[in-house]
Amino acid sequence: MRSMQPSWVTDARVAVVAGKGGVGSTTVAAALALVAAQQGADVLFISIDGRTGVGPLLGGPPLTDETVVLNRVKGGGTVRGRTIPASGAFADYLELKKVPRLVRRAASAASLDVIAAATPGLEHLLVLGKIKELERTRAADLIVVDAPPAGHAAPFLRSPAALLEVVTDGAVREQAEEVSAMLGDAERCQAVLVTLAEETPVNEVIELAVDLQDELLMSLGPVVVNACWPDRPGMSVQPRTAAKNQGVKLPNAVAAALAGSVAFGRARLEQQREQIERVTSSVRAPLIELPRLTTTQLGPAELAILAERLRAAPV
Amino acid sequence: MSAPLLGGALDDASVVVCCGSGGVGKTTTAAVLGLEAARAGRRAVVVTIDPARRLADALGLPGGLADTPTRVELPDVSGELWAMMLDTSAMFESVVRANAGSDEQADRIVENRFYQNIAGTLSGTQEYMASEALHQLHDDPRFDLVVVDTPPSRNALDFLEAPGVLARFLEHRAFRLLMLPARGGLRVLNTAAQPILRAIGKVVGSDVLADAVAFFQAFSGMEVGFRERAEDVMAVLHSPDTRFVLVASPRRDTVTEAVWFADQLVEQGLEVAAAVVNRAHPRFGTGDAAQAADEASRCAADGQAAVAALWANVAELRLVAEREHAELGPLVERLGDAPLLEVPLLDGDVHDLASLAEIGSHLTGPG
Repeated sequence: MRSMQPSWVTDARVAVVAGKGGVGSTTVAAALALVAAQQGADVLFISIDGRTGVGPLLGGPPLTDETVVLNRVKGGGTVRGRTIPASGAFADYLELKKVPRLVRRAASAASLDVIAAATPGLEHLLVLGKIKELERTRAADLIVVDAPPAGHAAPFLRSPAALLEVVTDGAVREQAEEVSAMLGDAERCQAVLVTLAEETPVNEVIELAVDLQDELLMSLGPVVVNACWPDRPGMSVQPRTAAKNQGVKLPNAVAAALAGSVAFGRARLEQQREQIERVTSSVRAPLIELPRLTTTQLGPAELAILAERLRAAPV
Repeated sequence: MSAPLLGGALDDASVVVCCGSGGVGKTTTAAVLGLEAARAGRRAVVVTIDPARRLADALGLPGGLADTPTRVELPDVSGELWAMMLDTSAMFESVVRANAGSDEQADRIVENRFYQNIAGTLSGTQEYMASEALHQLHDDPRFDLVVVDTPPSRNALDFLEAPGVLARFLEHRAFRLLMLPARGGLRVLNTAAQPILRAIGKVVGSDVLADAVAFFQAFSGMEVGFRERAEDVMAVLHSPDTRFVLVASPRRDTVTEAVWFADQLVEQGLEVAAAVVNRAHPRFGTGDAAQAADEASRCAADGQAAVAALWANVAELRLVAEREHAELGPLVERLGDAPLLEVPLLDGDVHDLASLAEIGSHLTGPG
């Protein structure tokens, strides 16, 4: 195995990346996987909600539930990827637990989906249980988990704790205990939270951070503030003044366009500062700002830019 | 008379369902549609799924959104705007109580731990309760328009099918097979099912299983009422007075999902009334990005660094706007005659009625 450079990225063997829908947490998770591979780690990228498009983003085929190589980084490690669909996890689990096939088949007839649906968090737990198995058997130097989006990240990570409250015996309880132990161990697992510098995502990331740190005793890696507006030079000067200082005269329409864009940029920046300030004052974790890219669709080139920013961030 | 909302797509509507992926501004769009309808003289109620605090503040409801409709004070507006936030558990309980044969049966269900778990977490419950709320408000004489913000989902059918899914779950063959009709007492299990139950119990834990069995026993007899109610809710969703509005942002991923939602609606025999694309970057001035970039280079070459920087800023914003606009093609094509309205990214968060009205100004007028 190649030697890995020490970095916050590989502080724990599992990095769970989570954020509200639309903030770009899948992209950040992919960038994180790329950074770790560039630093020499063999990385396994796991998508929970079955978004397969991250495969091509990392330079490989769309993800399936079989592990495939997505990217061999020159001079570095490898990124492999797969999905872990929640459906089917229960049947797999029964098999793993060596429940006799006859009983399994009978239980299937009695529709396991009902049992799973009826036991809140069970599917989440079984997915986390698989990740725990991969971690325990050292399937990779780093496992990057792209957690479910849109408010489902908290129930996902809380599932073992929630199940421990209701399940007093049986194999599920055992599994919940083992997964809880992994989540709470800073050497084995850290959470990387992603947000935008906007009111609603910031509210959610603060809530999630408190939940994870105080209730689940999870270790928090840096909070990534995605899509930050650049603080462009020269934005503090009024266009007419700037032009006058340089001895040129602007037509009215041009002055209005320049002034409009400057006012817009300044207002967005001001809001961004306020929201970043809210994150830093409420969350006990370092913060990394990623730039807003001018593209509407990310590809490997943009991912490399974000990976470089993650790598270079002073954490 | 105010300008038509969404190009007239909501005229004569009694229900508006906003669908779209997470983070695209569905809740805000729903609130703005309600506000604009009120300004046009309607008595509108908006149901949100998110505990959107900023929205509650913007509506002048400092206590936050309640789980029953609260009137929003709108000076100089002829109609009415009401707002509420869906409380899934409370709504589920009210449905159970409405269907239960007796208070005692309802209590037994509501106190069951298995029920308490599924009420909050069973997938589809939130969607079903949202459609249930929609049904109740639709029948409420105080309102003539219900605007509902759907839970974030990758699947429009989650919302459309949720009533049926839950009804099917509660009637599930598995548990019906496991239990014989109660004879005299509770916990009468089909003896043939005992080994299976024991195996399941070994995995999920015996008390979880006991709670589940007790729940299905307590629920017995209510399935029919639940199914009928689900059918009523589905009828409202499929009524011609119900309109579906797709909400997206100008990015490839959310546009792709919006197109996919549209396909799914059509498969269900429904159609999209309009689409709203939020947070489109504004364009500054009249030229395109390339022209602004040329100006920036020209100014830089002339030693006008400060003006060049300003042009570079315009160029970047225009470039984003142009790329965003290009992403909308597939959605425009999918919509056919249905209007698509773009709401520009504002220079700040929505924080008061005036900013909601500003968004509204982009949703009214000729489509």
